[in-house]
Parts: sequence; structure tokens; C-alpha cells
Amino acid sequence: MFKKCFSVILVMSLLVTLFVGCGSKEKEEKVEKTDSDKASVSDNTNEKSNLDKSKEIDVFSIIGSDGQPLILPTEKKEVPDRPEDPKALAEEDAGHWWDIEYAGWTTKKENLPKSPADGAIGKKVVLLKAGDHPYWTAYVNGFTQIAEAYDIEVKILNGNWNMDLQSQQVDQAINEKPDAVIFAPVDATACAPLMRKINQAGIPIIASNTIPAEAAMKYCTAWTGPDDWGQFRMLAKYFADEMGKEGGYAIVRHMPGSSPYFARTFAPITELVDYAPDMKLLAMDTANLEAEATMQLVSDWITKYGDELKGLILAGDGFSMTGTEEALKNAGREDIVVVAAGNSKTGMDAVKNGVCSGITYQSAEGDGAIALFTAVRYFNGEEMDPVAYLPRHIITADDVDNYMPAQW
Amino acid sequence: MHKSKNIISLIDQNRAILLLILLTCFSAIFAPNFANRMNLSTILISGCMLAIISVGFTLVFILAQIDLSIGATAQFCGMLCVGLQPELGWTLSLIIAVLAGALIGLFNGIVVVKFKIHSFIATIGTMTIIRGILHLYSDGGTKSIDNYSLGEFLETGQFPIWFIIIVIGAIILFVVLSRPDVKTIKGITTIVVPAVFIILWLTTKLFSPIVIITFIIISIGIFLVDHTRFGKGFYVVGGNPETAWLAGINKDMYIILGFVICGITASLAGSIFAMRLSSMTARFIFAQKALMTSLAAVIIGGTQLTGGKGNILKSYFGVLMFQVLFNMIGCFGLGFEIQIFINGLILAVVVFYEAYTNYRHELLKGQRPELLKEAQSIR
Amino acid sequence: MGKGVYAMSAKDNTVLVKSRFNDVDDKNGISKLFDKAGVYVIALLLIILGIIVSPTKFLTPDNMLNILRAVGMLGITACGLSFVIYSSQMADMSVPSAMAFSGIITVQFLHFGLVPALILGIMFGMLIGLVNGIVVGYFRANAILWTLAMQFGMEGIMRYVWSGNQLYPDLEPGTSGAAFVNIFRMKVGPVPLLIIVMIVLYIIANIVMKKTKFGNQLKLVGSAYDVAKCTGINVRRTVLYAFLISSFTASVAGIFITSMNKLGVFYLGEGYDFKSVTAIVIGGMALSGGRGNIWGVLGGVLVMGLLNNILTFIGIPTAVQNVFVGLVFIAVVALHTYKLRKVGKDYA
Repeated sequence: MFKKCFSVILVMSLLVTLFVGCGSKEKEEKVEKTDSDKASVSDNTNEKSNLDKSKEIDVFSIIGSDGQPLILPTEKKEVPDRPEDPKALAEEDAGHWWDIEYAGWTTKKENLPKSPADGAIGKKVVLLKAGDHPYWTAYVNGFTQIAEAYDIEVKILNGNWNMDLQSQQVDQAINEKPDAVIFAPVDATACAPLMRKINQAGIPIIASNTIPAEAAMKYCTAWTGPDDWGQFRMLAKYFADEMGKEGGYAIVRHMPGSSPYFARTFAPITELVDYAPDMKLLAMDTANLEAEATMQLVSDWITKYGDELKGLILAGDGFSMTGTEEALKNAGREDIVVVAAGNSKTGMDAVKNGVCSGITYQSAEGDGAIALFTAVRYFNGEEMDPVAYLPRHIITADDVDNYMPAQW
Repeated sequence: MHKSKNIISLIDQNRAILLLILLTCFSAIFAPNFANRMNLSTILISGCMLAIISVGFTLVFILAQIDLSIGATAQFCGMLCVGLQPELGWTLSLIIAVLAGALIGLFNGIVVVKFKIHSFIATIGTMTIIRGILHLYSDGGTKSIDNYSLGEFLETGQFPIWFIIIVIGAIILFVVLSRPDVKTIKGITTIVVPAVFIILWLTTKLFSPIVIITFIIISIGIFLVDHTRFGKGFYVVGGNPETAWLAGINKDMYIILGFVICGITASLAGSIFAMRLSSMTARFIFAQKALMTSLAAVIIGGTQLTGGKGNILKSYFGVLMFQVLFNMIGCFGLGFEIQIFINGLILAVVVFYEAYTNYRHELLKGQRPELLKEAQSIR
Repeated sequence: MGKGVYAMSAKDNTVLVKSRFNDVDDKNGISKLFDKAGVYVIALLLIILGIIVSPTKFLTPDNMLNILRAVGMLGITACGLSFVIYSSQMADMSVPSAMAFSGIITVQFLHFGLVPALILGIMFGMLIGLVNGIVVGYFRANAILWTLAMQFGMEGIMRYVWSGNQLYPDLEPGTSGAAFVNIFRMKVGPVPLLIIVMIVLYIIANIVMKKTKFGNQLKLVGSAYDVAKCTGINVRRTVLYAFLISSFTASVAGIFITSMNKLGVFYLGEGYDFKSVTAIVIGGMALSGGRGNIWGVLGGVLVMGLLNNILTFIGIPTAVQNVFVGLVFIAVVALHTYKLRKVGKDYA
């Protein structure tokens, strides 16, 4: 009996290893495809300095896997004046969230290390990423393409969404003595002492993806990433237009403890209070980005609010979208307007087949590429803005094909 | 379980510290940037939270119970400590956080003892409740304060002179009072290890205040459990409840006390972690990972789920071993999947080996090898 | 202390050895009802509460279907896991990885066709159960720790082999991918396939547990392992079968959850281990094994679904619902244990 089981296990493991081979071959082919688009380094035989060589490398022609350029033009935005005491205002008032939303615009930077201005070729960089997720796989993909163009040595430490682990990795990163650290914080507020430590060790920090709190912003040279607040204000306006500026809506939130938990909830709420005062917020709750939980939540809302519920805002377009689709189909309420934060394959498919009206555009590869590219600009000695956003756009059924195939 | 003297059993008895030494040597030789003072200090600091949790956790294991709510308790009490600090100051908020941990432990203990529910189930329930309360208190956001002075002191500061003198004095007093026998290995280690520790502490900057605090808590735990008569009661209650009852030991009180101590250590660990980072996150994965890692560390350290056996020092070596492992994987730049796979592999090997020794022991059940040998030698 | 003959015992200070008065007679109405119907009393109380909270919308077929749909996959995993708990092995923490693994294998092999892919997925999922069963059954390792180690190991393997990526099936109409994705969405009349599969599995599980020789052997193995060994039952093989059943249902649930999410990835199924144990224990199955029945497990699953539904109706955020779930959990378990203690059967 024992031998039988053992032989079965052996055969199974052989089968698995066989198909592991298939899987990795596919990955290699994908890398080949984008390699052919790689830019070439200048072939000048003179004694050019590292800095000049580095400035000549052209990464702007690299195309990402979704057909959009890898280095996207960064945007700025209008920053209103800071209210006297943000916390005293109500939650529906946009001023209450000023510190979190506009963190970094008016920060006084502290102890920033001066750029050596000797080019970016051959530098050593440590990437502290927040965790494993297909978005982050695409992020690392974009990141490594830029690293290859400049011959930068990269070490990636994965925090696995755990503050404990990331604080350990910050110490390890300092120990490595890199030329720069790209820091994607797990927690926007708790990363402040960590950034301070790196800053005091004299290593420049480029923060990425999650907007750190004001207290942390003064230690980093620059921040790049998606403009969560701004995008969701745009999305809210589009959402209100789709709904005719009236009706009840509900928000499915992101995971508690993350910064989109607030950004993707209160940006639309504060925006709609001004833009479409006739629209009513019926409910907001999190489903931990799980499909079954989202399905249950949305079904319960449809049962509870009936025809009053006319629109849904989702903080994610992956599992949340799948769950919402199911709930809408089961209740026969395909008339409900759905918008979400994008842009994954599931979300774009939903836009294509009409379930979802619009999703925000957030290029994962672009996120990774721009973070490292900002470090490259730092090494080249250029000045940069403290805050640089990825381009904002609402993907609708009209232009969804421009962004296919999906990055993740 | 009679102690056999063969080499495999010796390795098994001390597997935590042997694995630790093995991994450290391996990393020092092969892993880039591993063997410098700052990295070793990082390893010790990052092991502090799990080490303090494992003190109480080992106690619960000795009592043949299990407590799955320690991660949630640590996160919640850490959040209380940081959240109340602006109004109440560090001392008072730490006391309140520890009291909250003790209350949670008391709840666990009462549910297990008075309602007679199995501790696995009871603590799953407690974990779920605390998860909800945590969200209520934090509203989904991180609690933090702007003042990093305590965190910096814990990581890179130095204690005032009088504190150092008191601690060194206590160590010397303890060593002298235990009257070590210089001829045995145990006696020599009792003198050499504290001496080396004192020298290292005073000359290098290897031990930050947070590490010293952890050592103090671990020492208190070891003293309480191994060297007092009261502490020995834990072993009896866990290993053989019938004998404990016959001996007149109050089983219920010990179990409740075990859970209370576990809650106190978990809340202390969470509070110290929160003090170090001046904040505490609301993501629940923090609690889950703390639970899983300390569970693995305590099991590898030699404690068994069946109770009656356990050693706080070995659990600490287990925790350190895991930190060295994670650090080594970070130095090599390997992915997280390797880390979690090796985590599972080590746990699997340990569990497998324990099952095997139990199996061998069961074969000998009822036999008495001394009589058997005597019978054979007569023939 | 009621009338009867008592003896001294070390575990509890006194234990009732023989009582002329049977437990059912001298209890009041609710307790008697609880004795017979167990967890369904709680479910009934919750339904009444739901009607009070929302008179018009709660007791509609749509809402009830929603609840069933939401707990469908939890019900399937709890069904198999209850066999492991019935055999006093405490828990199977590798259920999430079995779910994710079977799903991802199915998607990987979809180009072989739908049915072969499904069979392969279930077989690979049961492989995990096989390893678990051999180590825990034959080598008598501690179930919680070993299955935890398996969970870590399988997660590491899955992350590595598929590089942390999501695996998407090909969704062109007519391909097996489209058919696979349709599995979750298929309906037989007004009832989704998921619920039908769940009910069928429960009926089969009940027959296996109560009416077959294996089920009766499992009960003895669960309540008194050494006694079972002495009666000549192959106890190790019985435990192996229990783990195989648990991983089988986990694989089935994994196929559904992968079909629902339209992709395979290593983190599907997270949280199902603790949730299933919660449902099973609410349903009256004691962790010490050999006690309880499958319909109780179904009741426990329904109680959890009802609780979530009602709390959402009241407007309590999902994260805070945990407080109520935990409290209900401890209260129900205390009730069950109290009921057992009254009859002197409480050596949990």
C-alpha cells in the first residue's frame, strides 16, 4: 500500500516538473519579445564620462507589454491652500484629508544627500517592495527593463505586506550600502522612522507607489506613483455624469490598513458632495478584496436598498469586480453603474463587455519604470519635483483596446 | 522519556541552538554582507517581538494548551500603547496595554477552564473578537505618533550607567548564588556565557536597549518557570494533570495564570514593537504572521503540543534561528517563496522527526530495558 | 447536584456515573429543543432576528439564495474537514493551499480539455491530502503542525512554479476555458450548481459517516484511538482516508473558487481553514472527535452565512462583524460543551 502511494507521488511530481518546464519557457519568450524593443547604448569610442554616457541612453522608446510607452510623462496638479485645522473639519469635507492627499507638496525636506552626478551606469539600487501580487510582478518587470538599460545592479526585498518584515529589510538595505533605495512602503504612516533611518545613513530614497505620510515625506528625495486621490476625483465626476448626477451609490472599499482604504473612499465622497449633491451615499464597507465576500456584500446591499441603489464604486477591479459582476447578474440589476480602480485584465474585460462603465488607468510597469528612472535622473544630477504622478486617465469602452493586452 | 546518550538524541535535544549555529556559520561564509556588527544587531533587534511572545507561548504549550490569539493581542495592545500615548504618556499607556493583554488572557483562561472548551477553539474565537475590536479602535488606519525619540533610544541608545551596573550586578549575583560546579560543562557555561555577554555589551554596540529588555524578560520567564517551585507546577499540570490533582495543586489556577502570562507577554511584545516604530499598523496579516512564526519557532525549539515539556531558552534560539534564516535569504536576494518554503520544510522535518521518536517510544511502551538487559546478561 | 450516583475523578471533581433521571426529562423547553435539533435552533433564532431587523426583505427567496451562494464554498470545505475533526485529528490547516493548488492545476491543463483538467486538478489536490494522511496517519505526526508545514511548503512551491503570476484561462467561447468559467455560474433551474453540489456532497457525507462501515470505524477511531486499534481496525488507514476526503472537498471547492475568480493564483482560499473549523464547531462537532453529525456542520455553515447577512443588513461594517461572530462562536461552543457535560461526556 505504501509503495503504491509512493509511486503515485513520484509520477505526479514528474508530471509537475514536466509542466514547470513549459511554464518557464513561456516566460522566457515574453522577455524575448520586449528585449527586441530595448534601446541601444551609445557606441562612441571616445573617453566619455559615465555621466555623459548615462545621459545619452534613451529609454523613452521602450514600449511596455500593453502597447503604451514604458516611461510615461508625469503630471502635476493644482494644490489648494491648506485649511487651518484639517482634522477639525468633517469627513465629507475635502479639507479634512488635505494632509494625506497633498502630502509632499509643501514639505520641507530634511538632510537630503547631494547627488554625486556621475551618471547612472553601474549603480547599485535596493528595491523594497510592499508585497507579492500580480501588480507587483508587472511593476518589477518595468523596473528591471530600465535597470537593464542602465546596467544597474538591483536587489529586491519583499516585505510581504508585513510591517515587521519590512522594518527588518530596511536595516538590511542600509547594510548593503546601495547608491539609492527605492522604497514602496507597506504602511504610509509607519514608514516614517524607517525612512528617517535610511536618510540618516546618507542614502537617497525614492518613495514609490504608496504616498507616505507628511512626516515621512521630508526624508525622501522624491515620490513617484499613481495619483489615487486625483484619479478617484476624476472617476467620481465621470461616475456622476453616467448616473445623471442623482441616485444612491455605495462604495466597496480596499483592505483596511492600506492607503487606498482612505483614498479610494473619501476622494469620491468629498468630490460628489460638491459636484453632485443630489447623489446619496448609501453604504460603504470593505470586503478585503475577496470575490466571494464582495459578492455577498453587494448582494446584501441590493436586497437592502433595492432600486435606491443605482451605482457602485469599487476600490479594485480584480476580485472585487468579479464578485460584483456575479452579484449584479444574480439579482438581475445590470442597470447599476459600476466604476472601479484599474487596470487589471479582469477590469478591462468588464469594461469591454459593458458591466463596468469606466476604470482608472494605473500602469504597473510604468510605476516601476518611473521610480527607477527618477533615481537615474538623480544620479545624472538633475533637479526633480518632490511629487510626480503617473498620468491619470479613465479607461472607458471607447479606448480600452489601446491598453490591451493587460499588464497583469 | 529516558535520556539516551547517543548522538542523534543529543542533536535532537539541542536542535534549536545547533541549527542556529549552523545557519549563522553558513551565512557568515556564503552570504554577502551578513557578518558585520550592524547586521547581527539587526537580527537581534528584529527577533525581539517574537522572542517576548514566545516566552508566554512556551508556557501555554507546557500546560498542554494552545493560544492562537497571541498575534491579535500583540497587535491590539501595541495599537493601544501607541494610540493612548499622546494623552497619557508612555508609562501609563504601556500599563494600560499590558492590563488589556492580561484581561484577554484572563478571558481565554476562564473560557478554557470554566466552560471547558478546548483551547484551540476558544482562542480562535478570541482571535476573531480581537480582530473586530482592533478594527473598531483603529478605524482601519494606522496609529502613529510623530516623536521618534523612544524608538531611536530602543534601537541605538545606551542605558544610563546606574542601570547597567544594576543589571551586571544582578547577573554576577545570580551566577555566584547558583554555585556552578567548574568540572561539568554546565558549570563552565554558567560562568563563561554571562562573562562573554557582559564584555560584549560593554565594549561593542551589539546589544541595543531593546535587546537587553528582551533578555531581561526572558530571564524573568526562565527564572519563574524553571527555578521556582511555583513554576515547576506548570510542568506538572501540563504533563500529568491527574498527578497534579492528587498532589493538591490547583490545576485551574495554573491554567488561567498561564493564559494571563501569555496575554501579558504578547501585549508587552506588541507594545515594545510599537514603541520602536512609533506606530502600529492595522493590517491583520501582521498578527497572522506573528502567530505562525512563533508557533514554528517554539515547536522547533523543542516544546511539544502534548505538554509537560518545554524550555523558554530553546524557544528563543528557535526565534533567533528564524531571524537568521530570513536575514540570510534577504542577503542572497532570494524571493519570498524560498523563505516560506524553507519555513515549511524546517517545520516539516522537525514534526516528522518528533513523530518518529514518538513512534519508537511507543514501541517500547511497557517494556523496561534495564530489566531486559539484566535478564540477557544473566543468561 | 441532581439525583444519582457519583464518583470522584481527577479531571472534574465529581462525575455522574449513573443517574435515574435522564438528562432530557428535567430540562426546560429550549434546552430540550437544543438537544434534539442542536445548531438549527440557533439558525432559527437568527432567522427570527433577521425578520425583526428587516421584515420585508429578509425572508425572500432571493436573499436566501444569496446566503446559500455566499457560503457554498465554505460548506463544501467544511463537509470534508469535518471528517478530519471527527477522527480527532484536530484540524487540517493545508485546506487553503489544496484549494489554490487544485484550481491552478486545472487552469494550467485546460488545453487538455475540460473534464481531463478537472480530474487532474482534483487528483493533484488529493495528493496533498495523501501526503498529509500518510504522515499524520502512519507516522502519527501532530496534525496541526504537519498540515501547517504543508501549507507553507505548498505556498512556496506555487509561488515559485508560477512566479507569483495569475493564470488566466482562455475565454474564447467554445473552448474549455469558457466552459470552466461557466462551472460556477451554471444553474439547474433557479438553483446554482454550487448549491446542488454542496447538498449532494452533504448527503453523500452523511451516508458515509453514519451508514457505512468506514464511518462507524471513523467514529471509534475518533473517540478512542487505542480501543479502535485493539479491535483490529486499521486505524492508520482510516485516518489516511479522512485526510483524503478533506483534500477532495477542498479541491472541489478550489475548482469553484478558481472558476468564480476566472483565474488561478496561489493566494485563493485564504482564511478558509479557520472559517471551516469555526463552522464545524458551531455545528456541534467536538474537537475531540467521534461526536456530532454532518447535518450539524451544514447548520453551522448556515448560521455563519445568516449572521453575516443580518449584520450587513443592520449596517455593521464587515471588519466589526468579527466581534459578533467570535462571541456567537464561543457562546454556541459553551452551550454544546455544557450539554455534553450534563451527561458526563465532556472529556474534550
